[in-house]
Amino acid sequence: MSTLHTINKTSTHSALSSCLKVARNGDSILLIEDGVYASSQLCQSPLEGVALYALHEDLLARGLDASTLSGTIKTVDYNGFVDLVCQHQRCVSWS
Amino acid sequence: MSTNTAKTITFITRSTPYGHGQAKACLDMVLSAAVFEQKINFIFMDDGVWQLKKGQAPSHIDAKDLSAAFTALPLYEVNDLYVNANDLQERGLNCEELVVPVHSVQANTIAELIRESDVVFTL
Amino acid sequence: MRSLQLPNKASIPLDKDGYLRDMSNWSPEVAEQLAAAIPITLTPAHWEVLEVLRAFYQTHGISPATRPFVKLVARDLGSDKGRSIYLMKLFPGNPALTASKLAGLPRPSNCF
Repeated sequence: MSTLHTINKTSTHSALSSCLKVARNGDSILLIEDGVYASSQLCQSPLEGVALYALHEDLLARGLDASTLSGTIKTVDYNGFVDLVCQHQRCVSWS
Repeated sequence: MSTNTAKTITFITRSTPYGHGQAKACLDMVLSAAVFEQKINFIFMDDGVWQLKKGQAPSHIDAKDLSAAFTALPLYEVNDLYVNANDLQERGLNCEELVVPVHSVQANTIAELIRESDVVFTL
Repeated sequence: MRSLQLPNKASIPLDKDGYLRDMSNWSPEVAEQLAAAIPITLTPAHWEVLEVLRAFYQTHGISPATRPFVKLVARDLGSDKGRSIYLMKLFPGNPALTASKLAGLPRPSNCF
């Protein structure tokens, strides 16, 4: 019964930190919109058993280089976003 | 009643009560969902815990008192209110200073509530 | 803009659904005029429900939808009155909507 968490704010907002409090093993976190700015912070605090993703288009739009995300965060395009939604039982959008 | 088809809907509110529409919007969604006789969890996290503080007098800023509506939630059969204990503590608040009785819980309990939900709304 | 004409020629502004635009314009006379337009003749059985509604709004700031309205009446006036059928006889149509209107409250926003 896994959950997809989306984050659409930078790490100066509480969206990421609040999400990290309740994300659990088997869940996924997807960074979208301004949430992609939080990718470096998210790399530094990986969670046990939580898959991390960032939306490719939003990285590109903001001049962020997907290749610097190390291996911990995978990029997905909009189709991948839809797949993630379908693969999880519910979504929680943190903003 | 249609309890066998009722879904568990969890609302997570994380915004301060005034100055924007988010807290009010979340409350309206809770009240609307309650009309459809769904199982509802109402969770206050982050700055959302400020919505519950006693002694609000928003008439001074020409706003309606949101906290007054929380005391009417039992009539809507919304009885499961939760606050994240750490968020309460970080803001120097305790349960006695809140307008309604709530379950003060750890993040682990909130994670479980999310897992048991069909739908989760955050505002 | 819609309005309600009182016998003393005063004009009370109403919203598009016929609810008072300004709650402070409410008086028993206004309630009677609103009721007459439905038409309902207000009796003590109506008034006690309207008083419960007005007190609820003063405390909580919301106009109750149907189910909470029925529960509220049951709580404050007893379970023989807190029943849909009883309230429907007093306030034909949707009792929560009709009673809120006569009590001078805004339209219940979560009422369908």
